[in-house]
Parts: sequence; C-alpha cells; structure tokens
Amino acid sequence: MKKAFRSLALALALALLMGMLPAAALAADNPLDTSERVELVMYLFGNEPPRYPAMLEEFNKMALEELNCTLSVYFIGWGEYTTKYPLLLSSNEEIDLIYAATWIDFANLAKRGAFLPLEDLLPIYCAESLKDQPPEALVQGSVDGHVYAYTSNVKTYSAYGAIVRGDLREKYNLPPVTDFDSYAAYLQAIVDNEPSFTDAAGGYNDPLFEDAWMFSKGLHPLTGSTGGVYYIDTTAEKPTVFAAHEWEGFREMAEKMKDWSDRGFWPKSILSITDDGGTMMKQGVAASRVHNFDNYVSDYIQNPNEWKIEWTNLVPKINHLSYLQDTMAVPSSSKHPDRALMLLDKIRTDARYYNMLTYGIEGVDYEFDENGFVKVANQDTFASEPGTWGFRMEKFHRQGVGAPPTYVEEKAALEAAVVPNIFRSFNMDTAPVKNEYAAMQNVYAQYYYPLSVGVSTDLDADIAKLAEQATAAGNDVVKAELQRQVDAFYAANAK
Amino acid sequence: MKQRNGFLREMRRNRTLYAMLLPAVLLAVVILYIPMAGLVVAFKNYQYNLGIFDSPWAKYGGFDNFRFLFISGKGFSITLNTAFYNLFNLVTSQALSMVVAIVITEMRGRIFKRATQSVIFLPYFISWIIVGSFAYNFFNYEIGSLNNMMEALGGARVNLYGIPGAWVFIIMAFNCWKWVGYNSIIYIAAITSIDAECYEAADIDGANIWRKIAYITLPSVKPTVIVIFLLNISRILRGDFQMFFQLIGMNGQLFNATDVIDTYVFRSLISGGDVGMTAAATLYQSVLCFLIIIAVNWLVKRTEPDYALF
Amino acid sequence: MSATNPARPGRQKNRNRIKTPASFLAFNYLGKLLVGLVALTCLLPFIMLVSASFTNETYIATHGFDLWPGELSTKAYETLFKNPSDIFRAYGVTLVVTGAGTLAGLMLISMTAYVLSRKDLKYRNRIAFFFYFTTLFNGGLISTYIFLVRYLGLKNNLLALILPLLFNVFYLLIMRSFMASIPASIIESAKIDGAGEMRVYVQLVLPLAKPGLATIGLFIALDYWNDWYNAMLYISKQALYPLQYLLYNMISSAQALARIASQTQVAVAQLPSQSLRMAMAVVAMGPILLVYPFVQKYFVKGITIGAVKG
Repeated sequence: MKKAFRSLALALALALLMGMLPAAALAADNPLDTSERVELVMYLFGNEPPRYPAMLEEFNKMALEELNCTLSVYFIGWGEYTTKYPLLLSSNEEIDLIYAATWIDFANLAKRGAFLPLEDLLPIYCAESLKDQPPEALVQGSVDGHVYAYTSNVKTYSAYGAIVRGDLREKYNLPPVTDFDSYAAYLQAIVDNEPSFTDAAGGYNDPLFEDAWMFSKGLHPLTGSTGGVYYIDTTAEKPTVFAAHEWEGFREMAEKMKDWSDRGFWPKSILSITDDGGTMMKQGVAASRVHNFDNYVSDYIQNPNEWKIEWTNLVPKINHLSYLQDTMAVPSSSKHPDRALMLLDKIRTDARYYNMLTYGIEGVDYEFDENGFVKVANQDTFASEPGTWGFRMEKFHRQGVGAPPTYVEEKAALEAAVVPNIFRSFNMDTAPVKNEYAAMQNVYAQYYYPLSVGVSTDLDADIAKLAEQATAAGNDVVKAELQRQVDAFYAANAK
Repeated sequence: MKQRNGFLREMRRNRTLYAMLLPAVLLAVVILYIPMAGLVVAFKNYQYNLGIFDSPWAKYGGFDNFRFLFISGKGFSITLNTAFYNLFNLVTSQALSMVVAIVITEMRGRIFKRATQSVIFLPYFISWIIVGSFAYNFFNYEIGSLNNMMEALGGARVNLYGIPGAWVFIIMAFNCWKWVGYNSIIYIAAITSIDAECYEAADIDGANIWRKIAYITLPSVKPTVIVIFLLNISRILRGDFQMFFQLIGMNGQLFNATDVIDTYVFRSLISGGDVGMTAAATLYQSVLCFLIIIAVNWLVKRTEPDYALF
Repeated sequence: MSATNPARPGRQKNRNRIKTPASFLAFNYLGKLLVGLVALTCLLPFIMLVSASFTNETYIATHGFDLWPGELSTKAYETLFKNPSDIFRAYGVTLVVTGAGTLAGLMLISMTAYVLSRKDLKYRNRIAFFFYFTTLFNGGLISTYIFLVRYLGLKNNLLALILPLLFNVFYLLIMRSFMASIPASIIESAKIDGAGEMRVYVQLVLPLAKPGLATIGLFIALDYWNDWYNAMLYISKQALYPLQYLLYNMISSAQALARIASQTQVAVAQLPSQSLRMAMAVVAMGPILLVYPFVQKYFVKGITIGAVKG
C-alpha cells in the first residue's frame, strides 16, 4: 500500500515535472545564472583516446564562452572499475557528472546515497533536453521515489541472436538460422567440416546460450540483464520469482547444453577461456557467437565483408531494455549540480557539443558521409563514443561507415517485435538480503555456470548438488524478499 | 614509579638509537595507524553520502557484513583451503629456492652461475595475467601444447580443466616457478654474508662439500629461514588473488579444490556487494592471522627466543 | 676494504689445480643439472613471450605460443609505439618514482632495521611489534584513500605513489635478520674507540650489510617499478601515469571487457590482442632486467667481516 502510494506520488511528481517546464524556464529570478566560472569534473568508463585532450581543449573554449564553465574528463578503465568506481563515490571527492548503469549496481548505489536526487533540478536546468526524454526513462531512473538518473534516450532491445558467418552457411547449403535447431545445424556443419575453428560457438564470456534460451521462453531476468540468478515469467497471471535452476525447463536446457557440449560445439575447457566471442570470431577461432543487435553490427563492421556476417533474433517477444542500461548521474559530492546539469543539457541538445565529445573534432577525427554515417579518421587516435553512452541521444546517434546495408530494416523489424513489459522498470533491491544474495551469486558461479554450458559428467548429481547448495546459501530468503518487491511493484503498476 | 624511571633511563641511554627510529615511527603513525580507524566500516551499513563514521551500524550488532562468508557453510572450507595453499606453497617454494641458492653459491663456473641466477629471475616479471594465458594455451584439451605432446608420445589427451585435484600441484608448480628467483636472492644474500673464514677453516679440516653445507651454510641461513616463515605465517589466510584468479578464473569446476578466501569474496561481491562486506572479509582474515601469529611467536619465543619476531 | 681479501672464485681455481674431491664433483654436477633445469623452465616461457610479441595475432590464436615466431609481425610494437610520447613520459614517471622511493625506502629501512637488531635496546621487541602490527591490520582501501586524498591532498601527486610503498615491514624484518648476523663485538669495539651511534651505523654497519642492502634495495625498486595499484587509486591525470599502470590499463581493460561483454549493451572497440599484451610485458620488464646484473655483483660470496675490521 505504502509502495503503491509512493509510485502514485512519483507519477504525479513526474506529470507535474513535465507540466511545469515552461514555468521553470520563465522563472523570474533567473536560476540559470552562469556568472560564476566553474570547473566541472566528469568521470566516464573506458580508455582515454590519445586525441581526447586536444578535443577537450576545443570543447572548453566553447563551454567557457557559452556557459562560463570548463570540463575535466577522467576515465575509469574496464579493468579497475570494480575497485575505483565505489571508491570515487565514497571518498567525497568533488565529481559533478558520472556514468552509471544497472550493471554497475545503480539502484544499490542510489539507495545508499551515492547520487543526488534530480527531480527538482532537471525541470530547471535541463528544461530543453527533458523534452526529448521519454517519461518511462525518468521512472526507470528512479529509486524510492527520487529520480537519480538522467538516462540516455537511445532504445536498446532485449533481443539476442546467433551471429553466424553467411559464407560458411552457404558453403554447406544450410538454411538461414532462425531458431536454436537451425543454429545447432550450423554449428554441427562447422564441427564436421571446418577443423580450423576450435570453438564453433564462440567462448564462454558471452555465456548467452542459456540466457537467450530462457528469454526465448518468455522468462524475464530481475536484473534486467544477462547472467542473472532470479527470473519471473511475465506471461503468468501473477509473476512468481524463481531461481534459474528452479525453472521447470531447466533440466531440458541443461540436457540440451550437455548435448551441444558433447557434440563439440565448444571446447571442453570452455570455462577457462578468457577471450570474448567477438575477438575469437575475428581471429578465426570461433565461427559464431550469441549476442545482441549492437554487437552484430560491430562484428559486421570489423570483419571482412565476404564473411557475410548474419544475425537472427532468437527471442520472439522482445522488450525495450530499461533506459537505465546507460545513464549519467550527479554524485552527492558535487558542489555545482546546477552547472553540471546545464552543461549536460547543452550536450544533449546541441550537436556541436555532442559530436565533439562523441566523435572528436570534425575534419580531423571524423567526417559524416552522404548517408549520415560516421567516418572515423583514425580508430587509434579517436575511436567513436569514448565512454559517452550515458548521454547518447537518439537524434544525434549515428552508425559508423560499414554498417550492414540492411541496418535500417533490421532495426525496424526489431522495433516491430517489441511488446510492453512493465518489469523493465523494476529496479531490484538486494540490500535487505545482501549476504544471501552474495552467497547465491557464488553458488551460481560454482555450480550453475558449468551446467549452463553442459560441462557435467553426471547431470542428475550436479543438478541435485546445485539445488542443495542454493538452499544452503539462503535461496528461499532472497526469493521471499524479491517476491515481496515484485508483488508491490506489480500491484502499483499493473493495469 | 620504578618502571617509569627505567623507561626514562633507557631513553636517555639510547637516545640516538631511538631518534634513529623516529622517522619510521612517524611515517607508520601517519600513513598506517591513523587510517586504521576506518576498520570500523566493517561493522557499518555504509552510506555513500554519510561516510565511514556517520553511517549507521549494521544489523546483528554490527556483524551483518560478515554473514555472507559463513552462510552457505563455505567459510570454513575456504579458510582451510587458503591456509593449506599458503603452507604448501610456502614450504615447496622456499625449499626449492634455498636449494637453488645453495647450489648457485657453491657450484663452479662463473658464467653459468651468473646466467642461471639471472634467468631464474625472469618469471617474477611475467605478470599473472600473462601467465594465465600461457596456462590456458598449455593445458587446454583441444590445442594445448601439453596435450599435443602427450599425443605425439602416444598418450591420450587429458582434460585437466575437469580434474580439480591436479590444480593443487599445477598451482604449486607455478608458484615455485614464479618466485624461485626472487626468493633465492634472499638466501644468496644470507649465504654471502657468512664469514668466509668459516669455510676456509672447514677446508683446512678437510670437510667435504656436503658437510660444509650441513654444518656451516644451513645453520647460518637458519635465522633468515625462520624470519621468512614467520612473516609468511602472518599472511597465511590471505590468498594470492591474482595467481588464483588468473589461473582458475571463473571455472566453477575447479573451485572445490582451488577456492581461497579472496577469490570467494571477489565472486560473491561482483554485484550487490558493498564496502562494508569487503572490509568485513579483510578484517576476518586479519583477526585470524593475528591470533595465529601471536600463538606461533609465543611458541618461538619459548623455544628459540632469539628468533622471535617481536 | 675487501681489496686485501682474495676473491673466492680465485681461491677455488687454485684449489682445482691441486685436487677435486669426488664429493664436490657429484655436488657440482647434480647441482648444475638441477639449476639448469629450473633455469630452462624459467627461460622457455620467456622466449615464448618474446616470440609471441613478434607473432601475427591470428597465428597465435590458432596455433598457440611458439619458441620462434611462426609468422613474423611487428604490428604489436607498432601499435604500442603509435604514441611513443605516452610511453616515454610514463617511463620518466616510473624512473623518478622508483629512484626516489628506493633511495628513501632503503635509508629508512636499513636505519630502522639496524636499531631494532641491537640487542641492548630495551624496547626493540615492542617497537618491532608496533611496526609488525600494521601488516596484520590496516585501515582498508576506503579509509586510506580518503585519508591520503582528502587530508594529505595527494590525488594526482607522485608522493601518493611513493609513500604507500616506502616502508615495507617485511623487508624491515628481513633486513633486521641480516643485521643481526653482524657480531655485537665489532660494534662494541667501535664504540669503545669513541665512535657515536650514527657513525657506527654509517661507517661500519652499512658496508657490512651490503648483500642485504642490495637485496632489499632491489626488492624495493621492483615494488616501485611494478606498482600500478597505487597509480590506479591516486592518479587520474594521464600525464602522471607510470609505465606499469599505462600497460596494466590496456591489458586488464581487454580482459575485463571480455568478461563483461555480455552484460553491457554497448559494442566496444577492438581489444588489444595477445601479441600486444606480450609486447607490453617485454617493454615493461626490459629496463629493470638490465639493472639486475649490476645488483648481482653484491652477491659474490667472500666479503668477510674480518677484512672490514682490518
């Protein structure tokens, strides 16, 4: 009841927030005061391109003149974010803008006070860009009734499919891959005829066979992403939370994966492979992998055209992923949230600002071709989108030169396949059961992942062991808590 | 009163010596002791906007953050695993290093000596990330060099990644390999410090090489050996995370035989973990190590007082 | 001072001509065999590493590592040195930090270790414990970080790379065990001759402790040279990145990216390849390997305490 009330309040607040846009813009005592010169600090993920400082110098000339501020950008490397990201947020260092996302524990951090609530600030300082923000994006960026995330507004899809090499498929007269069986036929042909591929299915770091399989059965992961432990069946009347191994189709899936593993679709030591599927395909080690649309596009661009990279969605009913997949947030240590948001507003609405941070300096680092695709001058000095996903905008977002010619149709087909799913706005909170959840994650790493890629000599014993360990780790406690959250969310949001 | 006088007299008598200790003491206080107050975060429900001291206490009298270690009954086995690996690896790698050090200092051939001493130091520079990719290339079932060799010799291929027990020895071997050069330097330095007159006297007495090693070299490196063992006992519950993580990674099949506290904690807190839980795990290791070393040091003090650490 | 003392290898040569006991021959050949084998297992992976850094990427992926590049390619080095100024600047930072840190650390540790080795110092064990305690307990990441960054203001300051590694208690205690082998009688007689404590330490103890100083100095230098962790914490300006952090960043990013590739929605640009990783390792270890032979000369057996006295 309380939760429902809060959701209602949030909806009201948001409606109000959208409604008062003009009012805020016309506020009498001009809140958009830029008389004080400020230096803003932004942290992004990824590696700094060598030409980044040169770009930033230009960027700051512009920002100084128009907004009386300058921006310093620091990068958090992929190999260090687990340590550095929480550290930066907890040390009270002055940071004005930071990248955030579901997969780096956004909800958990927001709940623990890492970010500033933005619901009162956005209408004033981001009035312009707020017009382009879908209302559900603000809801998805909310925790406990406060908006903590100003997300990217680019749509992403829960579609996962097989990325295969069309040239090889044609060579063995196989029909296009349309489902798991035709994918298996492709893999079998590779195993039988192309011994140079030591890993037909592309490694362990896209352990997406089982994710794609479960998604294709209409299951929804409560993390909203792959690699989760807890699922609900969104087609059910009233969703019940269960762990992946408790799903009725689990045994069938484990058998299938064991069959695939025994047929040699991937190496026996798959669990110790540290390369990713994309790299392995490029090197000619793997002949396919399972991943999403964006990765297919990037594989297409990076590999020779004569490989005829193809992708087919294996998940029939797809959703838009939560916008929270990529967002910017204002850490609670920021001294100038107003000015930071004004700059963010500018970046999200002014192509000059957006393009510079995203592609570098025009004419030096990139050009747009006649189709509006980005032509990058040198991948090594300024590769596109250095950590900019948190403020990606649909209207400015461009594909690189070399994208599949069918890109537009394929994307439209995806859009057409989208069905609504209110649980994409559900932000799971594991804090009340953090110990049990930690133990469960560990049980899954040890007992579930091997089964998910068919690494097992005795399926019955291994499945029993997994169930036993999960119970010992407190699976029931976690489930009860998540069920409570799901029920409250369902009551508040189901129509 | 008497003791206080004793203190003052000692201070006055050895004032230069105590003054020489001052820089180190100050440094330790400033960068090691003052931040120690932060240990309290292990008992807090950490809030980012409140900081360490203002965050509320965790549930269960502050011990909530420790529960994930024990909840599934894994705490005990990973603690034992960690202690076992550290002891096993310590004994094997120190023994090898010592033997190598003795051989290198005693054997003939200046160039061979120098060359081998340099070469065995190379693995120290190869980071575990790179060792990890070597290991995979070497051991994997399909194209691994080891299996290729086995097959060429008429043997059958072996999937080592399916045999957890084998990794106890693989890890031991890698650990020896990585540290043999580094550790042997300590022993070489210790042997080098032995008064050459001892050896000369032994030569005159006609002692053979084995006797010289047994009666001169070994007793002389004993203090070093004891110090190194004691120092390592004090981190007996801290696993070498990089080594285990890069060799074993996320291969669940091998965890039963290869999981140590550090890898368990890393995996458990990949998402949804917090600052307090990480601190709790570290504190758990510290307290146990502390108790163990106090006990061991007490034993050493009773039997060989000269070798006690403190 | 040791000029009057005949070097040991020379003595050995003289002795050879007279007679070589069978026991020594057995020791010599067995020992050489053992050390030779150890050296070989250390050398081969290193050669493979260097070879891999010069090998075509696709070849490694499909054939694994080899002793000789299967398909020669210098692409890894070309990629690495595409922005040579970054690498050279990082070398500069590393050299400054390593140089300053090693010098300061060695002075601090040797002085403290010497004082703690003096058996006539009443509180030496308590003070040793005061230092030792910090290896068991520390404030943890967050607390130390906040303290260094907020109270000492060391963010983006090279001191943040030097201070945390300046005082290693393990080295202190190993050093103390080396110093303990210096006979107390020598120190006593020097003091009777009227030398002050400081003079005893500088003019008598330091020269005697050369092998120990070389060992610990080498260890400290290696710690600084290899440190990327503190840079990760305290340095966010790329201009101040030390070499190892620059390289670690590239290698670990690739590895971590592969691990999280399934979770992020973004398709990320190319990852550094195996050969690039190996090339980085070569670049990172090169210079410090060149230093090693110079340190080695302090490990030649035969520095005698008696010689110094005279």
